[in-house]
Amino acid sequence: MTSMKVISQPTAVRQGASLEEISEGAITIIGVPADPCPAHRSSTALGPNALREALDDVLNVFVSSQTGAVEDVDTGTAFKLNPATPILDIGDLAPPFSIDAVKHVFGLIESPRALPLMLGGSRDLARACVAAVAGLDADIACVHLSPKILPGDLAKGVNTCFLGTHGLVSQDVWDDAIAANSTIVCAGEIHETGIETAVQSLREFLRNQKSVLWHIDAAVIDSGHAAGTPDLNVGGLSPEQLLTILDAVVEHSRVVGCVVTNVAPVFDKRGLSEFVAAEALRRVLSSRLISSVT
Amino acid sequence: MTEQLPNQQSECLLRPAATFFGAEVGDLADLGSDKVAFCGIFCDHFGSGVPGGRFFARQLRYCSSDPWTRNALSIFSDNIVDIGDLNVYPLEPIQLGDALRDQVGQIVQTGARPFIASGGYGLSPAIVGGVSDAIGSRDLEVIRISRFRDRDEADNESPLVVPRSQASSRLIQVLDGQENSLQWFPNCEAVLQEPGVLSGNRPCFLSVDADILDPVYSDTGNYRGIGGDRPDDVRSMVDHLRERKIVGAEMTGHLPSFDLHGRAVTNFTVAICASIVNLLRDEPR
Repeated sequence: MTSMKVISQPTAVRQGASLEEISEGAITIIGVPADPCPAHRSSTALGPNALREALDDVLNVFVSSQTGAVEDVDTGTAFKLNPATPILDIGDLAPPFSIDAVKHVFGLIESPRALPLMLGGSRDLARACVAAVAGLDADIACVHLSPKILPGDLAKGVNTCFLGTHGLVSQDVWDDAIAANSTIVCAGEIHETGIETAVQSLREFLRNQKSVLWHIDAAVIDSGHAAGTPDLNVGGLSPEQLLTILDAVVEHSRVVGCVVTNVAPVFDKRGLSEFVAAEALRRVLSSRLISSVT
Repeated sequence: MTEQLPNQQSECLLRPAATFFGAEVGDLADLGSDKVAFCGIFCDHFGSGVPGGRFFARQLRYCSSDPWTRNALSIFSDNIVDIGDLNVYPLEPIQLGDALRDQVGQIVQTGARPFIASGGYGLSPAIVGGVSDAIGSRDLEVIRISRFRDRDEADNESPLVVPRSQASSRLIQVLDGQENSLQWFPNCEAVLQEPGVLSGNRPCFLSVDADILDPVYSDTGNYRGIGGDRPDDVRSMVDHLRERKIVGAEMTGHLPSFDLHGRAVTNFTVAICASIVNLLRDEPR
């Protein structure tokens, strides 16, 4: 397999680990510092470390609590990080980034049944991840939170849902997505009719799946709210819309793997792009990552 | 051989000079009834109390000529001619007003429809005067969309360029004092709720100010606050004006900075301008 190098220091949230130390159920972070090709508006190579820091910030609320628990003031329920789900950081893939290496990483789903969390990296990474889960002997569906539908987003035998689609989509790819019976929820629909329809569509999709690979493309957020991506999305989802939709399906995410792409921190000095992505990630991982305190 | 993910390759690209939407550069001789004449006005001395609008045209050229941006926003440059920036005399308001009126008039006389990346609303009376002269009618209707009415009293004998706060009053004077020649709306929703505006028969000049946008989408010296229209709201509103005979348009109030943030927010203005240009080039009018 491609060699690994740990760039980001372990923190209270993330523990450093080697491949051999990955245990069953562990959320396993792997960075893929790849820039898009052609390299217009690049800097997604800086995405993995920006996402690590944002994830630390998002989860720090648990770590900084003396008891490790936080309370939902609305319901009075207390939550804490699930001790059975350690967050391990095995570092970044070293370039050149091969699809074989990505497949190897997603093999962790089968053995030792860990949850790979791949931090990209360019949007192309999603194609490799979909190919990787399609090659596994497991019934894994895919949810793309992305404005684009690209050829590699679909794979034979992989049920697919697209949420936040916006802008031009190639006719061939659109036809393929429809022919594959994909669930497609466009950003325009969400703006016009509200999030309820999107929540229902996503719930219905997830209800019929055994396990799911989640792909969070930072460009799904409107560029006014999250400019830190190589893409320009005028009319994308607001952070509130995305996070509310994810909140509504948090119990049914059936997550077995995650990939975050298209975070280009250079373009967003406020750091909101990676922060929104990390908040989305927390919700997607919530069923595994967070447990209620009885 | 192992298949590899695409990765960045260093590449030096030489690009042509920036023009609006990558359009051809031309002059009056290149204009005609099937063309949209895109021009800038490097002057904001009379537009508002905050300088910066003069750089709007320059930043708009940089952002909109980028092939990546044009591709992302599905912009094409057919039938657009970049005729450069209009001549200005920033320290001489009388001469400036007359010059703008004359130049805009010459553009409209070719049959082309001007789209003006303007330094400020204070210049609009001169621009509208030029359009009105060229179409030979004072029956021109101006649709102005801005948070501010700018109806401070203006002297009928004052130059055609005035402080922004007086611009609406001066503009009405230019159109023979007909109050109904200026339709002012504070946001896009207000336009859509006025069916008469969407289907009127009079020739129409559209003036959109960036201050209607939510500040996350704009750099404007006139408004600091929370909330406002989204670029998609403006694009949708523009789309509803297809029944109108639009003879020209301008965008005002965008004060771009030159850092990455300024470039990012200018991209939203590019998207809005593209929708207005599409409206202008719909068909020869």
